[in-house]
Amino acid sequence: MRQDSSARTTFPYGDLLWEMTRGEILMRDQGTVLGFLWTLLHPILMFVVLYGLFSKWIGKFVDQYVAYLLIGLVLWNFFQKATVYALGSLRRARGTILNYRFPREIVVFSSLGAVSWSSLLEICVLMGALIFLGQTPRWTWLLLPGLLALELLLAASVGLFLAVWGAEYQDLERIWDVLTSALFYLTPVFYPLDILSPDKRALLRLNPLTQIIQAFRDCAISGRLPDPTAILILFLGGLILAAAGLFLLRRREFEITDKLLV
Amino acid sequence: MNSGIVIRAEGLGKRFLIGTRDERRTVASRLRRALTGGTSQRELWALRGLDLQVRRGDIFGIIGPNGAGKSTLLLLLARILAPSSGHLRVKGKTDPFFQLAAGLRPNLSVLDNLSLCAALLGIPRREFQRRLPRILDFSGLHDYLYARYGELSSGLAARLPFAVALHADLDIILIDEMLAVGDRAFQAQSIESFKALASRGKTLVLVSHSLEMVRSLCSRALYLRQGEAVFCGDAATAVKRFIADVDGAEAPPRS
Repeated sequence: MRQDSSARTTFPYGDLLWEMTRGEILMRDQGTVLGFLWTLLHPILMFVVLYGLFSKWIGKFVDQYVAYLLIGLVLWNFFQKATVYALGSLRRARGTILNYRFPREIVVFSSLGAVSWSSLLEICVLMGALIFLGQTPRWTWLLLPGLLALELLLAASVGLFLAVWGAEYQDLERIWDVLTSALFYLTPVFYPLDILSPDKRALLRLNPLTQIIQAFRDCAISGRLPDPTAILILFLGGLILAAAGLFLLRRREFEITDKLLV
Repeated sequence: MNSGIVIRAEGLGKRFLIGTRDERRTVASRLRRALTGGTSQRELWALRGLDLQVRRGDIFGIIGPNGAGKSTLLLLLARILAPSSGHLRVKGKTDPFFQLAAGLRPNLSVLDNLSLCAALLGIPRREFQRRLPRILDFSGLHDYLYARYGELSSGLAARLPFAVALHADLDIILIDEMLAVGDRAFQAQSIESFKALASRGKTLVLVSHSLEMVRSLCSRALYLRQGEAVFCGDAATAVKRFIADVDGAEAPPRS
């Protein structure tokens, strides 16, 4: 009995999380410069297309459209990749789950960690680009890591639910693909909120990603402080949702294993 | 007497829900089921009504034809699966030596996989570094530390998780046909280490088709057939019963 309890409490959670995250990063070839350049290609291509199409039109409404669009794309990509990667994580880790006894949420967290790492590199490139575009670093840039952490919390809370349901339903990946495509257009990634009618604007403000991306732009470009109540609500909401997701994962742990096995 | 029992199962059962052939597990099929009320799943009891007691320091064998529920039982003992019925108490840290390599990463180096495997088995990083020389001595992987794990031959590859698991301070060691891989020298070395572990008070549960090994190594054994215990007790008797059944062709293997 003594050994039973000690085995549970001393599980090296951090060590395993680190090992699995590192493994995910290396597996995705992001240990190499070339691998990282590949992941940069997607946002750059999106940027070229969207900028080419909309700079004349939307550029009239937005000051510094290049920076505006870059921030939108990088932050959107982070959320989209993180949730998609979390969704398939338990299924991908089938061999590990069926052969080792460890807290299952580490699988989801390590996928999120790997995506965070590549997004962090993208953001470093982004900040370099902003300075290149003539932005001078402001003290509000100090708030940017906090906003990224908030986005990670949100992605984790959604990702935990997706991971559980993704292990159960094989078509969830496609469904989520469709949903995120719609969400892309429902988030002001390449257009400003101001060009919408007031009621649509109010609706889009309910989208947490809108809040985060706009807050990031405020801090990075215009030096405006984000609305603290909105941020606090997002933080608490994300925390509650993540706790609920974790609870669901732990409660359904054995059902998931059954479904991965047969 | 009671304190020596590390595994105690009473009426242990495990049921799987198997989807029918033409239906995949999707949100769409779930919606259809909700609307029509029909179910596409059938039950399969992989294990049923099993009573079992294993004492500390035992080398306990599990034998039986394919599909008898041997691997399911190991997964239950490892707490990777949860029982569908009955009670199961397992005292101590355990992990199945199952297809441990399945959880590892063929694209990474042997060293990376050693530390991943150690973390999966619950060995803290510092402790792993302290034990690494012994693990390498046992596995003979010294010369392959920076080779890609996927490039190793299957025999060498199987040694890696096996060696780590032997050094993971497990109280109960669950082995599923692990010795089918590895050459004769490694097998002999492994059997020696099993005996040493058992003499140090570790418990071994061994699933094997090698009846000779079960007879020589195990003190007690369980003979499973179609998810139910045919015999549980003295290993030699269990093997004898199994052989008699196979000879009499009374035990058609279930897929």
